[in-house]
Amino acid sequence: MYGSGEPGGFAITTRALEGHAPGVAVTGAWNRESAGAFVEALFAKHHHEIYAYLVRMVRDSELAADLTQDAFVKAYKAYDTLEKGENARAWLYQIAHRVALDDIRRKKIIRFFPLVGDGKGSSPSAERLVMDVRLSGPLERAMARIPERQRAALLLAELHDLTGLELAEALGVSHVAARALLTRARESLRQALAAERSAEAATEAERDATYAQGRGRGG
Amino acid sequence: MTLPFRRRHNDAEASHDRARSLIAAGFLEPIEPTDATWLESHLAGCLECRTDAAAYEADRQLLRALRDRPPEPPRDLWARTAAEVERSHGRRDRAARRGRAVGGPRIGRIPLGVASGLLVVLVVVGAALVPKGGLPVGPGGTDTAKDSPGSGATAIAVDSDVAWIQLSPDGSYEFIQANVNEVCVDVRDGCAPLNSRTATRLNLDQAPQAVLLSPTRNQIAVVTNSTASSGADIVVVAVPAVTPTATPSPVPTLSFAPQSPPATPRPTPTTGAGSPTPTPSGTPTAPPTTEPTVGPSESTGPSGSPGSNSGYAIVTGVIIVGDAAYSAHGDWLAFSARPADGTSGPDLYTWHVGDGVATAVTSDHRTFFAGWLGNRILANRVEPGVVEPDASGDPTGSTEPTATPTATPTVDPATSPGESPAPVEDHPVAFILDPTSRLVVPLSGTDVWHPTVDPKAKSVVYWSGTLVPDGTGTGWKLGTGHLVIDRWLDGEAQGTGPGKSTPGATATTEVTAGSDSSAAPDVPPIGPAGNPVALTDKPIAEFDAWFDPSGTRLAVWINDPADATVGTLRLVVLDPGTRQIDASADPLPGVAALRGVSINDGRLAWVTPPGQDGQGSHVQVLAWQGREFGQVRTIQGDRFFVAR
Repeated sequence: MYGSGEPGGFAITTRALEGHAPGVAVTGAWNRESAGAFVEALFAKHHHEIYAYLVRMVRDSELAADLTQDAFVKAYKAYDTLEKGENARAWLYQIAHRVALDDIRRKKIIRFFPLVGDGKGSSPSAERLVMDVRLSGPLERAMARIPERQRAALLLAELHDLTGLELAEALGVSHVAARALLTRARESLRQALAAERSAEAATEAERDATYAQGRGRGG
Repeated sequence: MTLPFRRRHNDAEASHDRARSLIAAGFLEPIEPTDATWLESHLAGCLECRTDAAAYEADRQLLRALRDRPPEPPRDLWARTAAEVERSHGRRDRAARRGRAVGGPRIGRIPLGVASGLLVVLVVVGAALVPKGGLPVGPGGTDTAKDSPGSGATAIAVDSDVAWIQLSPDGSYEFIQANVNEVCVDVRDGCAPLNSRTATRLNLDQAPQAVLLSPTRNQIAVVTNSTASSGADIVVVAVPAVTPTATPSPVPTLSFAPQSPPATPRPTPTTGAGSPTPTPSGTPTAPPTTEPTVGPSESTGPSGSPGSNSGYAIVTGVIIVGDAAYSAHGDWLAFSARPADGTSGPDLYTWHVGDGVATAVTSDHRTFFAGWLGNRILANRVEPGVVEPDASGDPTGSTEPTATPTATPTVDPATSPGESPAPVEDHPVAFILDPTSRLVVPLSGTDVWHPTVDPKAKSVVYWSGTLVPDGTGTGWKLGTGHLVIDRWLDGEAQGTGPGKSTPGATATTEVTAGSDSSAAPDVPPIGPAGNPVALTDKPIAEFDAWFDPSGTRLAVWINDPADATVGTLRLVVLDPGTRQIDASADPLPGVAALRGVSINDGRLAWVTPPGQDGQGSHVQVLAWQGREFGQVRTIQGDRFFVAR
């Protein structure tokens, strides 16, 4: 599903990425030619999944596009830090994860449809919370409620098929810590989903009652 | 060893925790055989943990189902990234040059791969920026060269057009039409400013406050600014028709185009409707209509010459309440207006293109134009809320609205405020009016205010709530309720359908003085489906909403309570199939916009308030091609009015 395709229809080579496959060394200091070819190939292979991950983390397609761009620029700048034996995909996820967390923490944004005065980068408002409740499904709302790191762990494990070791690398924690984080995430999601479903049922009951009342009044 | 200050699980809790941990870990990777054996044994005897395991698995499947709907990155993402890489490299180069002064390393040439990507970007941008023969637009007409696209410009090819009125350097107003052939992701570092395709000088006695472009594109209606002494006029002016094209024709000089009203056989004004003879500025001659005419009467003669290339007034000396708008086919214009002296509330007016003047079709002073449903008018009448029902539920004095508008208000907030000591909320009644037959079809549902139905008749946006007197004695403001979107229920779809002007006879009532509220009960309902979704829960003072022709793009403008002329504009994307809000697309996350927004095929246009980032106003356009969105704007100016 992910990991293929050409950005914008452009022809992309993969020569550099093959040279950065797990177990192949990256040697020498930062070099412009190598960095450019490397990020180009990395983009061709992974930009769909990185973008998808970031959309689900920040829940804003335009912001996710900006963050995807940021992640690849960071990869370009830092490609020489990809050490021998490292998994380029997990390394890229680690960059994307940090970019997302940085942005979320800095801007406190997870927006839906704040139609009034809630521009990009502003804090989540009561209105936003209301809109979240009204405009997305219980799963999306539940995912929005759990801590960002737990959300990241769930997304990476369940939607992006990272292994335990890759998950640990992407999250920048030990293997044991990654597993523990994922366990906590599953429990958080279970509780959040239950709460969302309960709230949704109550809202629907209230709306039905209001509608019935309105019908009665309007004949 | 016991840790005295730390809560310890008992053995049972610890085993449940371990079980949950192993269940969760097992989804990620195989667990140790000994752990697996222990877990199997534990689950066999623990209903709670089996329930947890099932819940985890169910949640997991729910989550994994999202794989079927992967978000699609924008097609220009690589171009943007490559450009940013190059920019970052420039910064790195500068740092390196600074570094070389102290012995830093040299940086090599740009790699072929990135260079090829950048070349594609430049080709795209360059092709899109080929001059199209248009003249730069803007006050003074000199401020265009410096607005060349930035290095990071990523053009998206679109095919649309936009029109507006602007103040020219000599103090006159010009009507500008421009093609929109490219937009950029970053409007401030993107495409070249919008160029005019045609410019038509307008002779207006008063400054405009709004402009409407007929769907036939050969006529505009200018709503002039209301003055305390004389009110506002609506002046119609013929303009050159311009259609979207990627190959513009030469730009004409600023000049008049002879007016050619459509040759529709309607009751004609005293002057020749088809006469193209230019006359001086359209001077309203008909006195302000303090008491609008009732029913299907024809008004007095035109207030200006329909043949004038300066335009002529179809109504004078009134205050236009809300929007005016052309019908879908462009053969009618409708609006609501009240006398400039403020002695009464608004009535609904229609003007058949080519006629002399607009005609009031209601006289109840509480009817508001809401919009068009094809070639039929959507309108509201405000029904007074009298008193709350008593505790026994006695319906005496019920606030239930009548089904159709009547011409005789029972309670006027202007004249009888003392009769309702308790705060009273009034109720809007929405209805459809055929401007030709004057027949009315009531909408289903209650408290439906200012409904806007998409051109495909699938969705409707409206204020679901009450109204309260606004203190002027002749107007109302939003009361208790929500701005909502709902599905549009078209009970006539299998019969006449929206936009067709033959409402079922049993469901209709003529809008005349004294008409009662009886409507046949056995007709399919037409109106909101009754399953609304709130667009915002924040208190709002005023709003406007418009759909694009496809019905899948919804522009919502919500007034800033502190400034009646400014609001927040948002574009909402609807799924073409379900008409549900597409939460993954948020192309315009709330921008400041002046009142008067225009949405059409593939683009949304608005005027930015002056003072944004220290700049003047712009006409700004958000255009799209599929799910790609970009923006472009004019150079800054003083006064813009985008044509709706």
